[in-house]
Amino acid sequence: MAAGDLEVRGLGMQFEGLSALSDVSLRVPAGEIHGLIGPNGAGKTTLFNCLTGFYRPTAGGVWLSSDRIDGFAPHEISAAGISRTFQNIRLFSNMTTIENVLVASHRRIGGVTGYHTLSRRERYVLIDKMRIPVRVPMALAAGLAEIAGAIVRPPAARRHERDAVERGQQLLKSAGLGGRENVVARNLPYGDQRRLEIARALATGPRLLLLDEPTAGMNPQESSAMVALIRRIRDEFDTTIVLIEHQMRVVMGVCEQITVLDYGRKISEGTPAQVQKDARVVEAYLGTRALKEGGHATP
Amino acid sequence: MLESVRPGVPRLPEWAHALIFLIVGLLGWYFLDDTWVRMLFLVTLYATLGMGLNVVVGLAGLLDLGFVAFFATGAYVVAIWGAPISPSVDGVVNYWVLLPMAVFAGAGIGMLLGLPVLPLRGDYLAIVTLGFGEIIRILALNMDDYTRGSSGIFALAKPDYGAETVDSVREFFIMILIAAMAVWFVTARLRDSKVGRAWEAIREDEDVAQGMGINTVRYKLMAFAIGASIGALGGAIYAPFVDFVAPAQFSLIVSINVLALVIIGGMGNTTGVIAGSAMLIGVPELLQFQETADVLAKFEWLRDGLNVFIDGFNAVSFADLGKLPPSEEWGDKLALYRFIVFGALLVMVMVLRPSGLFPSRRRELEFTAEEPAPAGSA
Repeated sequence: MAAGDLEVRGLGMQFEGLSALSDVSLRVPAGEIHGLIGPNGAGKTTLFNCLTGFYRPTAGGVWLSSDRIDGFAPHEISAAGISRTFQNIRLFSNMTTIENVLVASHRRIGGVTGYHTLSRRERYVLIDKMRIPVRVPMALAAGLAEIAGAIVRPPAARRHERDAVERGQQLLKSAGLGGRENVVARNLPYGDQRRLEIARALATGPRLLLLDEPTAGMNPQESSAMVALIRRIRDEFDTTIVLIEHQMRVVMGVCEQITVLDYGRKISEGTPAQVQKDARVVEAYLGTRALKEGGHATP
Repeated sequence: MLESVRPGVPRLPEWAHALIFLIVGLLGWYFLDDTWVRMLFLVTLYATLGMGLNVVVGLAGLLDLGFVAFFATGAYVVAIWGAPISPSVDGVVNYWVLLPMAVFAGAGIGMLLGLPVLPLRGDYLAIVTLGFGEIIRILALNMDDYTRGSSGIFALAKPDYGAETVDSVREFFIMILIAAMAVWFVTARLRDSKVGRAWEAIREDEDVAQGMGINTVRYKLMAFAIGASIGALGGAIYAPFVDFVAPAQFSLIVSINVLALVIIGGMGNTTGVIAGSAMLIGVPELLQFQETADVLAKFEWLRDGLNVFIDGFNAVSFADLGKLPPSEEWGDKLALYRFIVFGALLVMVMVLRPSGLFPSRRRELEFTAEEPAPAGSA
C-alpha cells in the first residue's frame, strides 16, 4: 500500500441492536477523489465517524498507508493523517479564522520535547512499547515542559508560532479566505464557513481528507466553486479525498470512484458511469427519473 | 452598553491594566490604615483565586464548583508542615519550601479530581466538582490525626525575609500583590500560547477539538492542574495571614464567591476578575467601614428632604414608614443591612452589564449580534 491509501475491511457499527453499518469494505488509492453516496440514513456519516475515531467500530478494521488505525482516539487518528469536515458546520465559532486553523495545526507547532520530530510510525512504536509507569511520568514531564515553554516563550517557540501563523495564512489564502484572518468564524458568510472548515481540516496535514456534504446549502455557482476547490486541494496538498454528497451534479463531476451505501451496506461501487447504470442503485435509492435528469437526488 | 467593543475605540493594553492595578494597590498600601489594607489583601487574594478559576471555567470551559478544595489543600500543606502544633509532623519546614510544595500539591489534587470527571460535561461536571469541594472539607474535619479536626491548626510558621518575618497585614498585602502579578503574567502567557488556544477550542467544541488533533485529556488535566495550583497558592498565602486553618473556612461559599466574581467581572478576562473581586469582596467590607459611616454622616442636610418624601409616600400609600434617623446612624444601619444593599448592587450589575463588568473580547462578541463582515474585507 502506498502512503495515503485507505483500506476498510468488513467494517461494522452496531448501536445496541441497531446495525448502522455492516460488512462495509472499501479501497481508496492515494490521490483519488472518492464519492460516498446513499439515501438519508444509509450510514455515510457513521462511516466517517468510524474512520475518524468518533465512533469505535464494532467489527472490521481500517488501514491508512498500511497502518491499522481503528480503535485509536480521534486525536491519534488526526495525527495518523485523517482529517474531516462536518455536515452541520462545526467551527470554533467564537475564535477567529486564523485561530481556527492554528488549533488544527496544534500538533505541528513544535514543542520543546522533540516528540513532534518523530515520524508517525516511530511515535506509535514508542507509545506502544511504553508501559503505564513510564508513560505517566513522561506525560507529566512533557506537560510541565509545555507549560514552562508557554510561560517563558523561548525564541524557538516564537519562531514555531510565527511559522504556524504563516502556514495558516497560506492555507486560508488557498481556501479563498485570504486577508480575513481576524474575522470571528461565526461572522463569516455560510459559504466561507464551509471553506474555513476545509482549511482547518487541511491544517492538520492530512493524507486523507473526509468531506461531509461540502456543498450542502449552496447554489449552483457556489457548488461549482467548491468543486474547483476540491480538485485544487487534491493537486496542491497531495491528499486523498472521500466526500459525501447529495448533489449528483457534484458527485458525477468530481468523483473518480463512487461507493453507494444503503441501510448500512455497500450496494454498489465503481466509476460514476458504472454506478449510474447499476440497477441496484437505481432501484434502492436514486430513482430512475432523478438519475436520468441528473438533478438533485435527495428524496 | 458595550461601547468598548466598537471598532475605533482604542483599548488599553493588558499590561497597562496590570500596572494600574499595581499602582492603586501600592497607593492604598502607602496611604490607608490597616483595616483598609486588610480589605485590599482579601480583594487581591480573591482576585488571584479568580484568575486560577478563570483558566478552568473561562478558558477551558469546565464548570468547576469545587475550587475551595484547592484553596484548602494549599492552606493545609502550609499548616501541617509549618505549625509546631500539627499532630502528624514534628518540627517546622521553612515557609519558602512549603509554598512550592503547596502549589505542586494543588496541581496533583487538581489532576486527581480531573481524572474521574474527564468524560463529564456541563452540569454534570459542576455537580461532581461541587461534591469534591465538600469531600476535602469533610476529610479535613475528620482526619483529626493530621488536621486537628474542627479545632484547627494555628501558630503557623511565617514567611521570613532576611532576619525579618512577614507578620503584619501590610507585609502580607505586598506578598499577595506580588503573587497576583505573577499569576496574572503566567495566566496571560498561557492564554496567548498554543495551550490557551487548545483550551479555547475545547470550550468551543470538545469533539471537534479532539478531531483536529488536540489531546483533550491532556489539556483538560492541564487546565485543572493550573487552576488548582493557583488556588493552592492563594491558600498557602492565606493560611499564615489569618494564622488559623480549620475546616469551617473552606465551605462551599468560597467556591461560589470565586465563581461569582469571575462571572461578575466578565468571564475570561483578568481585569474583569479584579473588578469582580473588588465588587464582591471589597464592597461588603467597605459598607461597614467607619469611614463610610463618617461620609454618610455628612449628609444630614439630605435627611429633611428625604423625610418629606417618606411623608408623601405614607400619605398616598397608607403605609406607615418611620422618619429617617439622624445621619450619624446611617453608617450603622448600612453595616447592618449591607448584604441587602450588596445584593441589589449585584442584580444591578447583571442587568446593566450582562456580560460582566469588563467582558473579554470573546464574551463581548457573544453578546453582540454583529453583521457578517462584507466579503473581501479584513
